[in-house]
Amino acid sequence: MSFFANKQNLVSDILRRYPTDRKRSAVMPLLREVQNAEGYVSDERIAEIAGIIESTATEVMSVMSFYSTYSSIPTGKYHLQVCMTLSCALAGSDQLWDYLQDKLEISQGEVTSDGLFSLQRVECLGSCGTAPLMQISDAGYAECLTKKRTDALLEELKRRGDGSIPANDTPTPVFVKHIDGRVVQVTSDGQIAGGNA
Amino acid sequence: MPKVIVNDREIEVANGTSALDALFHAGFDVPYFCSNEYLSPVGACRMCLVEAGSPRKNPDGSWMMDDATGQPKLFFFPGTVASCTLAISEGMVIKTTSAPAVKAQAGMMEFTLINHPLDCPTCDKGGACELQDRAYEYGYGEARFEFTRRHADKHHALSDFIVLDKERCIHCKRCVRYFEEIPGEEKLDFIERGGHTYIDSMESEDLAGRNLGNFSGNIGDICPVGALLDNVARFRGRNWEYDCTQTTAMNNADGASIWVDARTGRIERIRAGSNSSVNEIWINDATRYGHEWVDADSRLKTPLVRKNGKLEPASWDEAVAAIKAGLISTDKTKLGVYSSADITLEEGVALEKFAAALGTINVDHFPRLNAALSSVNRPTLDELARADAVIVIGADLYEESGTTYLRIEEMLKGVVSDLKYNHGTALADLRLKERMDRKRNKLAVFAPIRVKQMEHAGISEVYAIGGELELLKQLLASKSNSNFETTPAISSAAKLLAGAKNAVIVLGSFALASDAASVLAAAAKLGAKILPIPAAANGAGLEFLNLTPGQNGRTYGQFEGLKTAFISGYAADRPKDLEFLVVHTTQLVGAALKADVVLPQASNYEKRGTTVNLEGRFLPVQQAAVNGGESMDLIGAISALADALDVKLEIRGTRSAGRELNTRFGLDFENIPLEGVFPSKKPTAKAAATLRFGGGDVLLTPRMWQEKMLIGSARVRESIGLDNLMLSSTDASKFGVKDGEKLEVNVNGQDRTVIARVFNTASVPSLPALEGDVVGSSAVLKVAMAASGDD
Amino acid sequence: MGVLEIAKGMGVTLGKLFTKPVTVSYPETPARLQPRYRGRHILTRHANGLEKCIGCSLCAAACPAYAIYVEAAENTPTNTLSAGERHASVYEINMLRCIFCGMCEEACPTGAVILGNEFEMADYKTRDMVYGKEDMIVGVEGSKPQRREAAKNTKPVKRGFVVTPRREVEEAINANKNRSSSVATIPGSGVGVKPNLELNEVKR
Repeated sequence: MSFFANKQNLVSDILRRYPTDRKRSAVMPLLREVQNAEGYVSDERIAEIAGIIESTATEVMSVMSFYSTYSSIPTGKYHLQVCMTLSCALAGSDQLWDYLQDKLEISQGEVTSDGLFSLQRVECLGSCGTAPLMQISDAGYAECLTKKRTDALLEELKRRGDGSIPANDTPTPVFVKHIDGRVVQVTSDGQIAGGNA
Repeated sequence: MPKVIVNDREIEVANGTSALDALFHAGFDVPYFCSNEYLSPVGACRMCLVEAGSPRKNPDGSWMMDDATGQPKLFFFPGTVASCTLAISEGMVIKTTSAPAVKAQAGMMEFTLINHPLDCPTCDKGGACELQDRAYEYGYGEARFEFTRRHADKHHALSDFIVLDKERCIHCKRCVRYFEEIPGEEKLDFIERGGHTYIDSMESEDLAGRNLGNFSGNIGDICPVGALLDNVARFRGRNWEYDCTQTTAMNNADGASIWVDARTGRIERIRAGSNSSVNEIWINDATRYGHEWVDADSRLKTPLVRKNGKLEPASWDEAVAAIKAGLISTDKTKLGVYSSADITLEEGVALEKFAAALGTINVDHFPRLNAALSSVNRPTLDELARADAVIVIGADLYEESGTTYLRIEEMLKGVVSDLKYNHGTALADLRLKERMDRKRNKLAVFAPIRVKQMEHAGISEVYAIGGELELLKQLLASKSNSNFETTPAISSAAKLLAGAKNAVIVLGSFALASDAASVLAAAAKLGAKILPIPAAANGAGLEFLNLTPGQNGRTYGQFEGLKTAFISGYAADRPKDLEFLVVHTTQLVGAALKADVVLPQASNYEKRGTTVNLEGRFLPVQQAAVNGGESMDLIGAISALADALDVKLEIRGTRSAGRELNTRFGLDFENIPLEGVFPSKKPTAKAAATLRFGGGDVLLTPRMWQEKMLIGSARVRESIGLDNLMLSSTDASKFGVKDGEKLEVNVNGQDRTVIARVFNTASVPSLPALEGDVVGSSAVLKVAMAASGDD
Repeated sequence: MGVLEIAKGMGVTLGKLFTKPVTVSYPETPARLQPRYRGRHILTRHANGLEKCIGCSLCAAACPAYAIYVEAAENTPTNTLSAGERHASVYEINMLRCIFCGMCEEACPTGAVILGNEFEMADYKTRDMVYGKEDMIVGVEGSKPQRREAAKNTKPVKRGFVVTPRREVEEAINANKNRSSSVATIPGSGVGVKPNLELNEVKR
């Protein structure tokens, strides 16, 4: 079944952004449309995009596989991308990863039976101050994760189940302050952040 | 020309030269992996690092001077630069041996080797590997990387002919660029990124299985490491064990240069040779992989004599005795002597002299056209690549003539890789770019079926089968009168032709099959150079010899009244009414099965001689170290025949044949250069009426793979899939054939399975119009309908 | 020359008459070889039973006498002879040509071919002097004629020498005796395979 067949306006809108003899440039926005709608880009979609931009499936595959934001395997409604880089690793991202795997009973590349969650290890998400953290699909970050906070978050996501996420309760930027001889994280509005485990 | 100083040597090179070529021209060397003579320089491998600096000019045009020395001040690039993508400029200083350059090269080599598996002992590239050589010359000699190397799939079959070892790949991108730049079909690309990067294709799953097109084998040649390997030659031998012979491929009329690598008397591998004015460094897959029949079990290696109705192995003496007994009562002047047209000129002249000695007029070579190719003004392939308009009529060049196809692709790019330096063709020709804009409007393709080349042509049209003369007539009319009423494609082609200075018309087997003489005459009126594709490998050379039937002589295929015949080469069926037949062939198929005496024929890899390619270029054929058993070339077979018939021969060997040819062409046939030569004098070419075969009903499209390659190799049979049999819907309903159905057909007496392709369009008319013509690889079949549609 | 000198010389001769001879009456008494004596080649196996030879032909390239001929083939899941992708389908040494210099052992990247101590290979036919894989694989004792003799008499191979093999040879033989012939693992691949311990029929 074609994905773009009933989206001709969208396609022509995307193609209009590029010179007519450089249709290949439209590969990224088209891939993004598919990724956003279906959670991953299948071989079928790759062939379809190749047809639209008058290129080859190999080239579309090449572009898609280069960027980690596109997935070639199905993802859940909430695609949990756990940062595994140094700061998070020091703050316990390995334990977080194991905990998520145990709790959701899936590993990297799998989707829970209800289709809600999938897991991926990713490199630095750029918020070392709130480690450990993960990105939920493209919707936002869940930061300063402890077991308790993770449980609560997963419950909340399950309750919603529509792809939306709760507001980030650890507003950044976060500052480190010495209070009473202790090192604590303080949010920009002066609140002490939901601390590290 | 700008002056450049490389280390301590000052040289002058043309503007636009890359620093890489400048430093090689000066006699220095840097390591490189991604550059290639015929590919765009991209700086992917970062090995050719040098220090480079140039003087700069003030706004007023004077040089910026160094106050200390009084000389123009040199501005060096920060750090080292890749010389392949750096254009030289006046006064540039390039340092290849300075400490920073040497350190950078060795450092890059270390990075390249970090993930390389170093399994050289089991690698087929070992001993002929650019990475091995360069690591030895420029590396540190010791690995400092002590962690686990990357591990990946070591046997990833890209096609049935090519295996990718993902661990060995160094990501130089030569193969990816090759597909886009040379045959113009994007088959490969990098998948994933960083250390996970590998090469793969999503385009290979076609009807024929995993198939990367007709020119896929070349990526194995240009791969600088052992990542892309020839699966046919896999583990057959190490590079230093092969007997390597550079010769000319004789499976088609391209005259492509090849290396035949043999070991213990077997052809284990064929690689592309380099001939910058013919095939450059590319050959098609049939030329490369279609050699297994030479060493297959089915190869005939001893003479066979019919005893009590059965063919039995015999010695040459017994065969001569049998021929003598069979021909004793015959009239020598009535003997028919025929040979296929893929023999060398030396063999051809021996056959001519033999026929003359017999006094027979029944002599012919096949397949051939009914016109002399040298009667038209032919372009060289270099001229074709530089043409400003190319019109291809009635040809599927992708299958018929790979070299012509690739040279036309080069014409579309508008850049011929012809920059020559002390080290040869430019290694990094800066005029070549990735994804160059193709001048599609310079190419028009007309064919009776949709052919691959139409995808690249600005002007293309499918015309009715047999409509070449009409097409040429309309082209001429439209060229002289722009208001002439015709199809848009013809009128734009005519416009293209009218505006071109160096136009070339390429005529293929569809156009030349039935009446080459009229088609060539009609094409000549268009005022362009004409490149007709010969019907067989040496068709362009044998036409200079007296190898066509005399007055009332029997052409090949019209054997009425013949009582005895000698046929060399693959013949379809034993002619009727024949009392005695001697066949000289490589495989026991077709007419050989019904012959009275079968003589084993030496393959074209096993003989010395000369062939003439489609341009009219004389090219040497060399003998590779192949064990052909007792097989002999045509000169040997003729000698045996002459012994049996008590005929005295003037020519009894390649040398005496060469002496005879020397006088005719004014060439030294002992020393034809590998890149070929055009003779100083040309005898008038002979032409005779078209060969006629029995009737047929359907059209088999041309294929680069030949019968003998299919017979001799299960791999080829399985991987290239089945031939397409083109049928109009009328014919299809007449025979009760469905589209895509497998059919058993009889091609020139050989059973073969094909896939039926039914066309509804008016452009594929009912085919009996083509009845009876067999030229080149495009053939009309007799369909054995009884066996059809079973599987 | 005086009488004294003659007496001295005779003294030496007489003295030697009563010492033990340094020669041995081979083959009645076994010859004692030095451990590093280079004799007939042994093709070794890994501890898991896979052949060490990968068919790389480097021994043939190093051989100054052109005595070695190797043909390689690819390992398949059903026919895995060696670790990795490649094995020797034909491995032949012409013992008439071989000068037992040990260059093949030097060149071998996997330690597959080592020179053992056997030297009693005299035979009647030239073609019997070409030793194949089945004649040299570790575990095979004796030369072709010796094994022929042993088979005829249904007795173990009789060797005419004694030797303390050097370390490499001893290790190879011991490893072969103790090897497990069950499932082996191809190093680096993580794939368990049943090694093909039968020698493939030599196809020519």
